[in-house]
Amino acid sequence: MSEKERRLLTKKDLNKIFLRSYCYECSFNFVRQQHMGFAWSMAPALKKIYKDDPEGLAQACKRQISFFNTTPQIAPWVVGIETALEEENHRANDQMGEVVSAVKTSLMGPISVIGDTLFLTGGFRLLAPTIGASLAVQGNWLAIPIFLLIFNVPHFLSRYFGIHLGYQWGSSFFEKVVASGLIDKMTEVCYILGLTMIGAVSANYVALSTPLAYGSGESAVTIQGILDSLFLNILPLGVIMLCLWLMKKKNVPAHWLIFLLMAIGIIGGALGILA
Amino acid sequence: MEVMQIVLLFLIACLGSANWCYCGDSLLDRPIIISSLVGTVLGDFQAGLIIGGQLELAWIGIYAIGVSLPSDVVSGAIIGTYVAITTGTSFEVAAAVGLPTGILIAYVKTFMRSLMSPFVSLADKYAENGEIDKICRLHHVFGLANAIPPAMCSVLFIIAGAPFIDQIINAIPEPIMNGLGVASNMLPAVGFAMLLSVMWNKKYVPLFFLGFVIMSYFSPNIIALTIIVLCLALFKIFVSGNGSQNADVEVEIDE
Repeated sequence: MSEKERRLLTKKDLNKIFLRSYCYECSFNFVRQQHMGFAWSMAPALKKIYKDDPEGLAQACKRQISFFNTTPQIAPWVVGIETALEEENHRANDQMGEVVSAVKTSLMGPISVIGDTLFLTGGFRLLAPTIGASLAVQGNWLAIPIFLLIFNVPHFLSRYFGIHLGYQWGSSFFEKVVASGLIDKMTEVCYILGLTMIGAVSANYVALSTPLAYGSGESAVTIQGILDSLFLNILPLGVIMLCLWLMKKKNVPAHWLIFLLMAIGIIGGALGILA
Repeated sequence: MEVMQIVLLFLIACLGSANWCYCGDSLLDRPIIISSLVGTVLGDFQAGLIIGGQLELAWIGIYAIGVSLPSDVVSGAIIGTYVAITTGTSFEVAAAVGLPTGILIAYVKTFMRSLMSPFVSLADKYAENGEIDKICRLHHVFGLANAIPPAMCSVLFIIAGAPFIDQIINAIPEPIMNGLGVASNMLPAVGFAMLLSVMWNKKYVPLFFLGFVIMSYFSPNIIALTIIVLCLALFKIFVSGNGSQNADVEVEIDE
């Protein structure tokens, strides 16, 4: 089916889905995560596509409340693609159901990696607070709009073009983006950028040093001086690696790590070992 | 403490909850926003903004990743900022009070989600009959159940704790206060460890250390560093990668 034949949904319909996509995470739950959010976003489209086909609508509902989870800011791409596929399915007399489900499931993984590195673990998620907060601590109110814009301009664009381009491309998204290797390449860029930024930002914002010294007066040698000459920020790096190791290898939940660090900090600080 | 203030603090807590449920996760729940609003309600926007910035940096990386939420930053920021401004103390107190209460409220959130789990099967029943409007309604019932209880809890905390806050904060001895400062400077490590464990991929891990060393020794501007790394990454992917498909890919981006 060529893209030009797909005319059922107007720009207005797509904009409605775009707006609804902001309420996508309402029903996030442990069982099927974003399942209802997906159906909620595309509800107006489903109603229009299956206007006089109640059986088709029921099948579509079942498909679209299956387990789904991805970065919410990038989920509209999948919503857009699925909307197009549902429409194709209706034209094919409801014979394409399995394809529609398969596409949805298979997009979850690759698109999450890109979404996560841009909006959850790196990218704009780290840029916005680093720049925003450095203005805020100086008491500059511009921190608030800058903080919000750095994150939400890309966020808005991802949602808007996700719905519109996703719908326009439909199943050809696979040839254009997945099969061409573009997703793999973007994933690699995201990993490179994400990890470098986590490294850079963490060097800036984890702080720990020790006031300990031996000898006295002029000839005193500070431990921190020795550590600095070995490797700057060696203590903060050690704390991060300790947390990571406990989290990954010992399965210690993050909130216990918070308590652990608070205990170490309070005791070490009170005894004058750490600063 | 006036009724009006409590109502406004509750609305701020609701905004924080609504960010995730109704605003597509637009960072409206972060301390920069929440603490500034709390500051405004307490009559000192400037103090709220500064505390918000400091909390933002201390809690960078602390947010829900998948189903795990280490500490509810919204209630942490509201309670922490409230305590710090009303007692005239610093951000260390805000962080020290806010983070543990945030952990408690995170339990409330998890509890509400477990409580709602059995109702997920209702959606299947509706789908069976193609009742999509009912699915949408259920979606919003879940939304309210996820958003309102945590917001109410953080305000109840403030109402219950407000009369004692001054005494408690004043009772903390000086050395412990120093220790709190040390602890809050260390805490971002937890957030970064969480981000790292999500992104852990042996092939790319050296880049974390690259970023760390560059920042430690040269402290470049973060935007400049981002752009440099982005350019190098694109260069690696599109120029030094295998060249056969490059032309096609570029045409498709243009569309």
